[in-house]
This record gives sequence, C-alpha cells and structure tokens, in this order.
Amino acid sequence: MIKFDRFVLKNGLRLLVYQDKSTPLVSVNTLYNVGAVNEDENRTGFAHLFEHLMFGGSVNIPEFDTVLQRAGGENNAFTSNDITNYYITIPLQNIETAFYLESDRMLELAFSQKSLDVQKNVVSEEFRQRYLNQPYGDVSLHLRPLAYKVHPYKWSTIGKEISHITDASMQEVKDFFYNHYAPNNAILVVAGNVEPENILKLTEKWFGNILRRNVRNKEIPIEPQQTQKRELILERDVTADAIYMAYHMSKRLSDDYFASDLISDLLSNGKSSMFNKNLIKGDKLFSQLDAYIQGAVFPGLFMINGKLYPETDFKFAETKIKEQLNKIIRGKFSNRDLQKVKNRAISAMLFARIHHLNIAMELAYFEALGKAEMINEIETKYQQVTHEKIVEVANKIFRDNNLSCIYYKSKNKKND
Amino acid sequence: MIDRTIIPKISKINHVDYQKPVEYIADNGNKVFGFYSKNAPVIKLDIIFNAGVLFQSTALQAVFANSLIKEAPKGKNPDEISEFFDYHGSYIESFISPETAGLRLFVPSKYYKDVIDTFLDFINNPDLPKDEFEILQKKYYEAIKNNLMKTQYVAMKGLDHEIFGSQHPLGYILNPDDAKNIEYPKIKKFVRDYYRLNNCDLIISGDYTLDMIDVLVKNFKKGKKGSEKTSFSEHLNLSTVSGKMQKLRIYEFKDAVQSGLCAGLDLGKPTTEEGLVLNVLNMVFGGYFGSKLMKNIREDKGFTYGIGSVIRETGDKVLLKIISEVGVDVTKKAIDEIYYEMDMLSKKTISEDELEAVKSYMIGEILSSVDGVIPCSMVFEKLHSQQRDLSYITKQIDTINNITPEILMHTAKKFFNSDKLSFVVAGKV
Repeated sequence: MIKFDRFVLKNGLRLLVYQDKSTPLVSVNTLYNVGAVNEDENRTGFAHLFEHLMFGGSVNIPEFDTVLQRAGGENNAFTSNDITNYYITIPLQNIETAFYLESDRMLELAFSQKSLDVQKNVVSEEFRQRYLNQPYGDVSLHLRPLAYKVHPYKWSTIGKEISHITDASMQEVKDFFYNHYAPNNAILVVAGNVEPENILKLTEKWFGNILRRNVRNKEIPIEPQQTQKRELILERDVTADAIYMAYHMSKRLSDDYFASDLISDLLSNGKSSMFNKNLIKGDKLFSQLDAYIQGAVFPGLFMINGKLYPETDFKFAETKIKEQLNKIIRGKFSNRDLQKVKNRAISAMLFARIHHLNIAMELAYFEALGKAEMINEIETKYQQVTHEKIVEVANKIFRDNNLSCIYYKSKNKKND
Repeated sequence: MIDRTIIPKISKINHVDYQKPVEYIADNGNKVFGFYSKNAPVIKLDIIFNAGVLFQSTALQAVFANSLIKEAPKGKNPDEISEFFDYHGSYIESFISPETAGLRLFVPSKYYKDVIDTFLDFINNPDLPKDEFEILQKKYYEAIKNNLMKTQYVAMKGLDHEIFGSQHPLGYILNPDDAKNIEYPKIKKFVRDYYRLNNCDLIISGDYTLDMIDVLVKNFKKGKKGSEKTSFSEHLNLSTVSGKMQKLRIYEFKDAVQSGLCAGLDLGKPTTEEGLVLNVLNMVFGGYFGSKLMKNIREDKGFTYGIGSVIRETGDKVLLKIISEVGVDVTKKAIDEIYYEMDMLSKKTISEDELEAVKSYMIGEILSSVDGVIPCSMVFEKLHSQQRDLSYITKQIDTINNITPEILMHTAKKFFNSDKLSFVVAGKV
C-alpha cells in the first residue's frame, strides 16, 4: 500500500507527497498535462522541442543545470503523446534548490533566441539519430498515420518532419508555454524522507504566487472506427524483413486495459510465452517477435512486431502470428497460464517500486489520469481479470478490419 | 513576495553513507555477500564467475556459454524450466563483461524458496541444450548482420579494434559467419572450465533470511575440490596483443545522415590515486550534462543529440573513450572541437566555479548510485570485478573533496595527450 498526502494550491497546482524514510535523496517530479496530442498538425514535435527549451534558462535562472549540479542533483525529462514529465533527484538537504528551479521555469522561461536555435539543431539531430539513422528507425513515423486518420496520435512525439521543428518561431514557443505550462495544468510529486507539512510550506513559498493560466486545449477529434485492414509496404536497406502489426485497443482507463496488458504478456512476456515457445523456438520463423500495448489516455494500439528469418515469407509469418492470436480468442490457454502472467506483472511492479523516483512518477501519472489512488488498485485489477475477460477483449481487438500492418521489406534479403 | 534573485542556500555534501555487505564465507573460501533490506518484498541474487569475454579462445564462446547456461539444468526440459520461473514471477538475466559473467535472479521474496534449488541447479548441473544452441546461432547470425548496419555499433567496435587489435577477444569485430562457425563442444568446454562453483561469488540483496544464506553457503560444497579461481592475466598474455591506434579510421556508410563517432586514448598505467583524479577529470571533460564536450558540441554548436566520455579499465588497459553520433556535415568540425577541449584542459585551469559544480554533481551521483540495497549491490559487483571493494567510494569522495584546478591541469598534462587520440568514424567525414 502506497500512502501519500494530497494538497491543492489556490492556483490549482496539485501536490502529492510520498514518504520514504530509507533514502538520503528526494525525488521531485513535475508533470505537465501536455503532450504531442495537444499539438497543431502543422507544428508537430512541439511538445518535445519544448521539453528541451525548459532547460535553456528561465526568467531568473540563466542555467538550470549548473544550479542543480551545484546542489548535487540530477535531472531529466520525457515527452509522450499525452504528457511531459520532468524529474529531479537531489540530496534531501538541498531540496529547496529543486523548488527554486522548477517554480522559476513554471513562472516564465527566458525565451532566449540562442537556446531556441541550438535546441532546434539538437532535436533535429535526435530525429536523425533515432528515426532516420537506425535500421527500422522510421517505422513509427509510418505506422501511426496508417493506424490513425484523425486523432493526433497519428504523429510521433518527435514530430512528422524535421521542418516542423526547424521552422518554429519564438512567438509560437511563447504561445505554447502560456497555453500549457501553468500551475493549474501541472502535478508536483515529492518523494523521500520528508514531512508533508514542510513540503506544503515549500510549495506555497515557491509556487504559490504563480498565477493560474488560461489553459487552451484544443478539442481532440475522435478516431472513427476502422472498417478494413490497412497495409503498407516499405522497402529499405535493412538486413531482414520485418512485420509490424497494430490493432486499435482501449484507452488506459477502460476496464479492458488490464486484460489487454495480460494478453500481450501471454503472447510475448518471458521465455515460456506463446510467441517465444511456438514461433521463435518451435517453428523457428522469427529471430525476434514481441507484443506490447500502449497505455495511452485515448484509445491506443496493441502492437506486434517481428523480424523474419530469410526463409520466412510475410504471408506465412502473418498467418502464424494470427494462429497464436486465435488461440487466445478461442480461450485455448490455461488458468495457470493466466496466473503466470499476473504473477509476472505484479512482480515487475514490485521491482519498479523499489525506487522513490518511480513511485513519484507513477503517482503523478495516475493523478493526471484521474486520481493517484489508482496506484494501489493495480494488483487487484490484474488479479480480477478472468479467463472470460481475456477471451472477450481478444475478440474485440484481434479483427482484421481493426489491423494496420507494415511489411518492412529488406532490399538486401538473400536466402542464405 | 519571494525574491527569486536569491538562490536558496546549498549545503555541501562531503560524505556518503552506504551499506557494507555482510560476508558469509564457505569452507572452500568462496563468499556470499549480503545486502539486507526489508523495504521491499523482493530479492536479487547474482552468481558471478570469472568467465568474461577475456577468457574465450574463440569468438562468441563466452557470450554463448553465458546465454545457454540459463536454459535448463541437466535432465530438465527447457520449456518446463522457463514456465516454472515465469510462473513464480521470476526474471533471470545473464550478464557479461570483459572480466566476469553470471546469472542474476530477480524474485519476489515469497517465491524465493520455490525457485532457489532450480536456479542453483543451472550451476550445479549445467546442461546446454543443443536445440537452444542452434536457435542462438540463428539469432546471432541475424543480430550481427543488423548490428553491422548501425553506425554507432561499427564505430564502437571499430575503436576496440584500433585499441586491442583483431587477435584480442575485445578487438575482434564479429561477422555473421562467426555465429555459424562456433562449435558446440567449445561452448561446453568453456562452461566446464569457467562456470565452476569454486570460481564464483554470490551476492544476495533485499529481503532475505539467514536460512537462505545457509543454503547458498552449503551449496558451495557441491563444487570439486582443489580447483582455483581463474584469472585472466594468467590465462592470456594481453600485453602481447595490441591494435594500431591510427589517428583516424573511417568506415564509410554512404547513405548515413549521421556518423557514429568514437575516440580512444590509452592512459597507460595510472596509480590508484591518479585513477581517482582521472575520474574527476573525465567528468569535467565529458562525464556529465554540463561537461566541456556537451556544452561545446551539443549546447553551443548543436552538432549532436549527445556526446560523452568514460574511463574504462578493461583487461590490462585503462582507456578514455569518447562516444557520440554527429551530423555527417559536421563530423570533421566535431572532431576538431574534441581536440580543442582536450588540449584546453592541459593549457588552462578550469574555474573554481566549474570545479565546485563538478564536485557537487559527482558526490550527488555517488549518493544516488548507492541509494538502496539493490543499486548498492550493483556498485559492489562492479567494484568486485575490478578487485576492489566499496571503500573505493570513500577514496573517490576524498579525492573529490581535495581536488584543485591545478591538480586537474597537471593530470591532464600527464594523461590527456591529444596526439595519441584515435578516432573512428562510421559514416562520413
């Protein structure tokens, strides 16, 4: 049971405090309820570019990192389609430095032209490094727009194209900040050997005077139901053919979510999983085959991707994957199989929660989803999933008219 | 109204508390190191052998042995074994470094007693299922082909090749056929020679009990008497093999949009004290986000998403390595800037201000690395493989507290000789 305290400041900032008496450090996690989903279709990659700019100096602090390093702290951040999350770990003695830094960049950024110019370059290099210069790196740039036609999940957090980043103007940066970075659009979580009342006082001191802002979230269009299978063939300079299958699935808060997660585990979590046992080891069709889900705020994707051995062709690979999916649809798995994946999911959760930073991030995410108390319901939610529920959800997901598929063909494939 | 121009007072951290392991010694001299904590109902158990890549006589031998040993003990079906561990919420990882290799078990405490005998059986009665060996060959064949398409991989391996040469286990660049040609008996022999109970140590961390320790200590009795721990320095005369360390080696990738860029410098034979200072110097140079390399090449010029440097003690060498991926159009410029930053460290003392930031950051990082018993046991394991113990942390902190800009410049003059830097580019210059 994870116990925490919740406070809400007058300006709308939500504060959660989790006590962990065993650590000399403290985690300070700040989540902003803004992600790639809030971007304009012609200015994609902006939430992520913005994450970089948040380290380029704020109104009273020219160099965020230097101050933090002097206090012995470390930090990083990530952007997803749904949220942007910043985190600091710092020795407890210097916790106030984290409040000073985080509150100043919530108050206002320095909006330096130099920082914007440099970070455009850095993000462009990140785009090249992760998406263009890696074998198979560009898949998500193609799979998302294949699976989504309307919903902003159709672009990746890095953006649709580099020009959206390089063309960004300072005015657009400022607009984005004032539209989304606000105490009433943020969740602050502090985890460590701290007293909640003291943390509340520090939060009031540093964040209390930041004015509430008018958060402008555009309306998110609903993705219409897919009616037929979508296919795309990409031919690239890679060594092996690869298949990428994406089925639409539920949103994170749906009752179906936990069943979907366990289905992906039945298929590919652990050496005894169906994919590994039957298709990697048994039939020796794939060198790699994985299934996983996107725990997204809006309905997400159930992903399957595999690398084919030279002697395996796409049609056969797809048929054999679907044979495994059909086993789940028909309920051909034992209760022990189901208990096994539940045990693994719960064990993974126990290991993740060893560290206060992970707990801080989880609390922030659940609070953003609705309420942080959900953190204590996870184990029960997994345990409550029945054999029937798995079958029901698998039947909903694994339909051909719900599938987007990329056949990633190797130009160099030789049958050697 | 709060005055935001006043920075909150920063307390200097100048010492770090860490948990020391309790040592349980078996009759044969082998040890179980225990890091106890009841904070979370989980246990991690590491079995560490002197069975790293340095011990192999043929490509892929050590890594194949390390991977196959966890498939199934003698007389057991691999499918049943994997189901058994999966059902008990257990995760088994194999890990390998130049010096050591081993198995790591993550298990919820409540299942520990269910799985421990089978886990130890991997070591007590090793078997290497032939089917699994053949699957591994196929997987590696594909993985090596794919890796050779990655600029970063080729640059890193290319650098090791420059440093160690192709006759050395670390300097050899794998090709896909190595996976086809590896012989099953050689893997079996490697396991026989190195995965021995007399050649290992155990580290248990988390919510364990003394009777669990008892089982581990007694298990050592199952080992054969008389055989000693292996040591790579006896096994292989590494000083006889070496690479050429050319100034610049290019592996051309004609369609690359970025180059994998690595550089290496042989630091010779620093003393322990010099090594501790070099760790600080490396931090200033490329060890953290505020380093010279990051500030110049990423934050000022925007040439890269990331650049960093590390000091690696590998085999009998101490090396400085620089690793980055940079735009193909600025690869040459990035190399020039690396030379510039390295030379500046010998020419000019860094400011007290900058040094203060580095000192605080490093101590914060050390504090973070031993935050909890599982991270602490990981640090211990790494130090143990270098024949060190956790007191190295205290020595490092003392060095950090007493270092001056002059000591750093003096050390840079002695060790950071940019004329000897060897660059490898996979991409274009």
